[in-house]
Amino acid sequence: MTDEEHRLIATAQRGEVESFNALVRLYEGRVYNLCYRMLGDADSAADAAQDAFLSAFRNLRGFRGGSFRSWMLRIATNTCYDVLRARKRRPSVSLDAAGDDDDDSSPLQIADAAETPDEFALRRELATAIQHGLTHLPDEQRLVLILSDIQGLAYEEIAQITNTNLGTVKSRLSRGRARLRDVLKAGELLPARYRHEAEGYGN
Amino acid sequence: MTTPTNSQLNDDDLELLSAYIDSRLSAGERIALEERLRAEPALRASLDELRATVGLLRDLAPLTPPRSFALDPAAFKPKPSLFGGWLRLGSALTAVVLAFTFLVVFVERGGSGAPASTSAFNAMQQATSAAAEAPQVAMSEATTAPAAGGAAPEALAVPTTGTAADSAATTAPPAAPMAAAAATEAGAPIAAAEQPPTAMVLGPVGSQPSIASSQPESSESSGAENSAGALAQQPTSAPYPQPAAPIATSGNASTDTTDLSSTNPTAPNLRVAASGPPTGLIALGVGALLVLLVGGVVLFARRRRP
Repeated sequence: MTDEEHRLIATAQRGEVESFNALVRLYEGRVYNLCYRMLGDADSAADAAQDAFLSAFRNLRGFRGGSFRSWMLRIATNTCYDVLRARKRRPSVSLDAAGDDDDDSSPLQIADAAETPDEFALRRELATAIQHGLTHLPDEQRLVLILSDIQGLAYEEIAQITNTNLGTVKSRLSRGRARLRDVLKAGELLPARYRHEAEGYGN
Repeated sequence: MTTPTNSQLNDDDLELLSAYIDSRLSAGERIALEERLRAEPALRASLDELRATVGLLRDLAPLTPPRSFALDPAAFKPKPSLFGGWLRLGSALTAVVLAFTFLVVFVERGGSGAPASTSAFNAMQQATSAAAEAPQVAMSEATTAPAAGGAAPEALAVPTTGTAADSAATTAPPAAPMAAAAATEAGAPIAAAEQPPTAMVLGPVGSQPSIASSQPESSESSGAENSAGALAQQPTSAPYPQPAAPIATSGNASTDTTDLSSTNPTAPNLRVAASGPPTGLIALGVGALLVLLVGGVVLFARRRRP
């Protein structure tokens, strides 16, 4: 954590909303992405992200040092879990509905200048399939997969955020990856180049 | 060739491959796994599929939040005026109460403190000497006492047991006006402290004087604010049939205390009223503290809102 962050946190802990907002701007990308990947649609993700930051500000005195990122992501995680629990209590909102609503609520995919239209379309299809696959994972596996492979966090930080140990992190990660691999394989979406490499070793 | 399905791999192997992808195996584990990968095509294929999956996840473009999640500062304004207002109000009230207290105290001490104690003491002596006097005398004397009617019934009730009251009562009225005047002006704690003999003679009700004598320690504000204390004291010092009360209680201390305290909360003032109204002071102090407490609670509740 940088000195600037330390200063912002100290000021924010005294009730300075503008200092906290500087922290919000530093972390809202991460928080929103986590919420989107966990919940599957943009509206739910925005609501959860806002709730997470509100909760963080209210409980800022409970932050006693260490990684602010981990602390903030833990709050975001708990917020997402609350939403997921609420969804399960209201079975009318199915996970599939949330996952398939990609025309209205999927985030804007911007074409890379170097991409051909086909590549762009494939990437878009993949993103949709990945999100669909993630949605069908158990919550704990999905969370660890997001934190590790999408957010790029180390096992130790993931253990902190999820309040578990390294062994649990490794186990959930490996199972989550295997499940997602199965979904993508079933949709024949594992990229050709990888499949080619896989086949090469069989001979 | 077809790639092996997930079911061909047990959980342990899955974890090994997963950790291998993240370079989280120990040197020994890594060497052992790489040997197996060379020897087991199925294991190698699974590794490649898992790597592809992780690669796709890592290549996912980050999503842009639809808006900023910054908080609205207006929603979290801590309302400094409320905090300041309550604190100032509470402090001001406390200061006012203490000021009144000391004004009363100093005025009484400087003015009629001595005379009041002297007359009260005389009254007590007369009460103890005239033990057989008719209760009627005491009652009539009590009724002539220039204090508020509230405590009069108490004084009336007390002599029924047939104690002293008599000629002591006759001397009481003269003492009463002076004591009453002193009490209404002064309120006491220091006056009470100056009259230990009176307090002692009162027997069981001596607990009151001790409270009164402890008052000076709590009332430590400047004399300049005394007027406030005096004004605040007046309502509670109004019912002052002190003359009858001290005399009556000399014989029926416990009864007197019970009657006075049960029907008139300010009655216990009476005995010590000759030297000041400590209970009134206590009430005011408590009132000021309550104001501060309420202010603090409200403040605390509001600060929790964001």
